[in-house]
Amino acid sequence: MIFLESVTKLYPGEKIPAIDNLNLHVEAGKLTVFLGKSGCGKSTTLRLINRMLDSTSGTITINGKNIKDFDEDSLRRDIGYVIQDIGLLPNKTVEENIAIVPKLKKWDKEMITQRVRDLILMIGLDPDIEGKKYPRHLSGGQMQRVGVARGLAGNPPIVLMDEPFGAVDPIARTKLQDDLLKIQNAEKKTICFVTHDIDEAIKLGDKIAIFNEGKVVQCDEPIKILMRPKNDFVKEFMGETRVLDALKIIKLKDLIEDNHKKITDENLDRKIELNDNSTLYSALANLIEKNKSIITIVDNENKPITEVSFDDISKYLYKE
Amino acid sequence: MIEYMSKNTSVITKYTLAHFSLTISAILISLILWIPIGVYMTRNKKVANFIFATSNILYCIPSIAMFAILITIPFLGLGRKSAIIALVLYSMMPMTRSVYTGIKNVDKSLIEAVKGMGMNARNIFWEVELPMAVPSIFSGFRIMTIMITSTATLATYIGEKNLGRLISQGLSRSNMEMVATGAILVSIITLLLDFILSKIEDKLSWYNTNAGGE
Repeated sequence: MIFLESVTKLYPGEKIPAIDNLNLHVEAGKLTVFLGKSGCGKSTTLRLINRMLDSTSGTITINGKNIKDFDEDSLRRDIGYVIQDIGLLPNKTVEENIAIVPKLKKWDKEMITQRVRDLILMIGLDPDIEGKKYPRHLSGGQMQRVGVARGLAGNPPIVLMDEPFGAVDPIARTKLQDDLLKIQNAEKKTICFVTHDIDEAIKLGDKIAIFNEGKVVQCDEPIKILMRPKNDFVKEFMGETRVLDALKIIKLKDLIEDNHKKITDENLDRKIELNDNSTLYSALANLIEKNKSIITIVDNENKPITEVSFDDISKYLYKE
Repeated sequence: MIEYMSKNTSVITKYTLAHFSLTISAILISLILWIPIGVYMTRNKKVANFIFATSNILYCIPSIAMFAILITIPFLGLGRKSAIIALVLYSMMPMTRSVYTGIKNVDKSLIEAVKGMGMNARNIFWEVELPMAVPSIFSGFRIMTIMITSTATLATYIGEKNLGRLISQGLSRSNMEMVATGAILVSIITLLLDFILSKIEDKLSWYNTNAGGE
């Protein structure tokens, strides 16, 4: 979908390029997180894709077409853009803010009204109440939601998000992340999401691209980044507890499907209930809590299904 | 003084109307001239520096001197043309400056966001920069209006028959009632205008207070 090939960006007056011969493939319909320390070139890369910046050399293609062959403004109208500062226009209401791109694309009025209503509902606000408000009457989290809705309004196949949740408090942030995942499940956009927060990257990313010194060091699924870091930089960057982070994203039911065992002992004192969201992390926590090396997994009717041991968990981790 | 006013109602009305017509002409011309120039200054640094320097110099010239200089120029001479030009030149400083700062102070992240959404330079000017600059432009407009209304009084010395004439003639005739009538009327008009315009200015500033949750 989006290909960056040997892309270099040298800012005028600087000696070291911000982006240095970078290669990256962003897959269609997936959320790719650009993860790295500040100054590693992740935001610059994002801004090269919608031509807020032009590359010094190299090519960027979208669906096989070089972005330099697009008209700059119409290219941007087809790429949603959400930034940390949000940039809601204070002189326009929430509705009017969301309608900006559809208006630029000259949709007809009814279609715009409908799309704006749908989006306001989708971000959990009321079109007749918050929709009529001015941005200064919203909370930080609500503004950020409106920013996301505005980025999606023109129905762009691609959405670029530059640390969109960086400025909100942790609770609102978790909610925003959950909502983004929900929206993404429904809309299947190609999203490039810049962050420096490892937890956020693991939670949101279908793929994570690790940036360092203007290059992509590794671009892989979160579990692979965590369990099979390509080099010492990635290993160190993901931190010494990266294995525990990996446990958080592996579903317990995947392990059970893979490794079904007979119940050896129906000791009810060491069982945990299986639900769709249980992860290996919660299984491990239970093992430690009960101080056992094996636990029984039960379904929601308290019927034992299988057993999981500490060994099963660590084997499954390295199998990935 | 009340007796003087009731005896000379028609003259006073005539002078007041003349005062307003000079003021309004000068204001209209200033708006048409200085707003576009103020906008252009935001696009071109050299022009901005030139206009800033020129308008500051003009603003520092005492009004009597300004009128005197203008009437010596052929085609202008005594009368309305010189009066209007002087007032328009004085307006250059407050007007161009308020337009310039209004547009320059628009939050950069707003421009970044709307540019990233595909607004072209024209969309950005009409939908973001200009509306966001309105409060600043309006405060320039208020300063200009007050300044023109009071400075217009002095145009009586180059032949304008307005409220200033009550003051100047009253002085030469030692008619203190006439002086007081002129002075008080001009003051009341100016204060009233300032009051009304400041009320409007307060209303306008609401939407420009930057984003931030409540």
